[in-house]
Amino acid sequence: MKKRRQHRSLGDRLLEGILFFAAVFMICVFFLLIYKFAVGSQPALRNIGLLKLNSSHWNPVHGQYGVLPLIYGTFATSLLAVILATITGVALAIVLSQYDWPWFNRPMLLFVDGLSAIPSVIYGLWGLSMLSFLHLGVGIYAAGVVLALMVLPTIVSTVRKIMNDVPDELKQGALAIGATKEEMIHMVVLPYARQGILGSAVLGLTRAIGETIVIVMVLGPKGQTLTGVLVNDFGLRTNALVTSSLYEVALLLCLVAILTSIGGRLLVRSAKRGRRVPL
Amino acid sequence: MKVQPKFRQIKSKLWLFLWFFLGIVAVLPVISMVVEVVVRGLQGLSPAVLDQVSASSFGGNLIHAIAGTIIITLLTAAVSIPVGLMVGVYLAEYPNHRFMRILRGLVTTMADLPAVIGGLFVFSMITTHMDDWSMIYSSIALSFVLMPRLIRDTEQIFHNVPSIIREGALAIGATKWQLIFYVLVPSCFRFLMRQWLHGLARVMGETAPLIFTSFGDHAVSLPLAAFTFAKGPMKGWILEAWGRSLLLLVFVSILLLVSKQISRRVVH
Repeated sequence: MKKRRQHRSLGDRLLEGILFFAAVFMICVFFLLIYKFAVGSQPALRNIGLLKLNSSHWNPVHGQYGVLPLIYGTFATSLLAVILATITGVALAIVLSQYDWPWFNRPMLLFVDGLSAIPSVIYGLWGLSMLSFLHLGVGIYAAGVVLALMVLPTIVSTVRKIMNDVPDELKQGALAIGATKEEMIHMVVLPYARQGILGSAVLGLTRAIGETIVIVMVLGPKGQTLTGVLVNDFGLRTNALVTSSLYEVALLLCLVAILTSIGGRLLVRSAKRGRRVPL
Repeated sequence: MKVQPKFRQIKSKLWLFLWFFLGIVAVLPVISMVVEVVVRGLQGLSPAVLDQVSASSFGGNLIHAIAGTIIITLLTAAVSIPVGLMVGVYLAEYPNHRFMRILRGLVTTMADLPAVIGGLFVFSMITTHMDDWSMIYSSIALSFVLMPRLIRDTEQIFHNVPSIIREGALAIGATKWQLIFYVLVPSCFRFLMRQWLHGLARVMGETAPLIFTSFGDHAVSLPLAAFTFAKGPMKGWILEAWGRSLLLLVFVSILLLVSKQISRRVVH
């Protein structure tokens, strides 16, 4: 009888080493990112101070580095987008998950897929041409509506999955005691999915906050966002102070995105496991 | 038998109509978008418009942009597919230590970071400006966006493999690396392929990272050219932007259709 192997084979150790190395590489990339941005924003932090509250305007050309209007712009557009997308997305998810109409559901799923596949430049171009078609100006509302379309696929797919998971006993119970289908959805499906809806809205917020191209194209000069100034003022990068304050804006953007991402994922995950956080 | 009162049934129908209506309103723009891209894009690709702008030689001509997009996408694939596969396999097939949980959390967070961040990150790493390297910078920035997504997808794919396959391979004496190389990767290959194409299609249209990494005339790509033309001051340029958008959409759709086709053929 062969002697039992005491050690793992060379191939095993080699493979695990390589994979471990790749994993460490990913972690290093993340921390390098934070480190680079932190170092890059040092001059701005030293000269202007944290959050640059000295001014309520962002205009690097005139030496104004107020970051508040950027935060306001980011949240105004993103929240508008998420509210619109949640209202329509939940309605769509209800129809897709609770009503079994192939003639409606199949094309709708195709369209939702299409929405998530279209590159953001095309959203921007389309937004511009729609605005000129409707004789409307660029601004927060326009940007919010276009962003809502981009956020919609995230919300529909997450909410639909959670609504599909509603136990049949609950639904049939409601129908059996005489509820109409609409009452059943309002009394059983929506309460069951509430937490998932909230979570997917927060995830949608993460996407909306990070969207750049559409903001640059459709928001125009009427507002500024964290992502928008990164692109718009990148041309001023020969000025060290501007570059440094852009790094600080990027750091702030990372912080916001990380917080909303963790929040949204926690909500969705616990909703999928059927655990309820008291809301 | 007592029937439900009439007004409740009407209420039910009204709500259904409302949901239905909202759902249709939400997705109708996609039709408008596709129609407009095709109509205006074809105008923008007509020989007359192309001649007019290649005279101004701004932003490179169309062939440049197409080649740029293809090269950047291929380079991105070359960077992010190996890393995505390795880290994904590591997360899925090795014991779930605390290190793994930290890694998974970080990767998930990175997947949610805005794409601009990747561009600015690569820009911050550039110490000497070499315009010739713009394609490489751009593809590194895109890989930063794509890698975390691929890792999450790969992990999910390996989790979906029934554990009986692993037990079978180990029972006939395979070592772990043999199990991974000869059993798991081949059996998942279609799914992996689908995720790769899907991810590349998504990342192909990303414009924001390119703004920070593509300098000079050496790195022109379809999304960046479309964006530059759309922002440009000249009236006629918007048609150029539409033309490039149409081409971009065609490329993205081809990748997505191929990935759909692959998943359709999967039989279990």
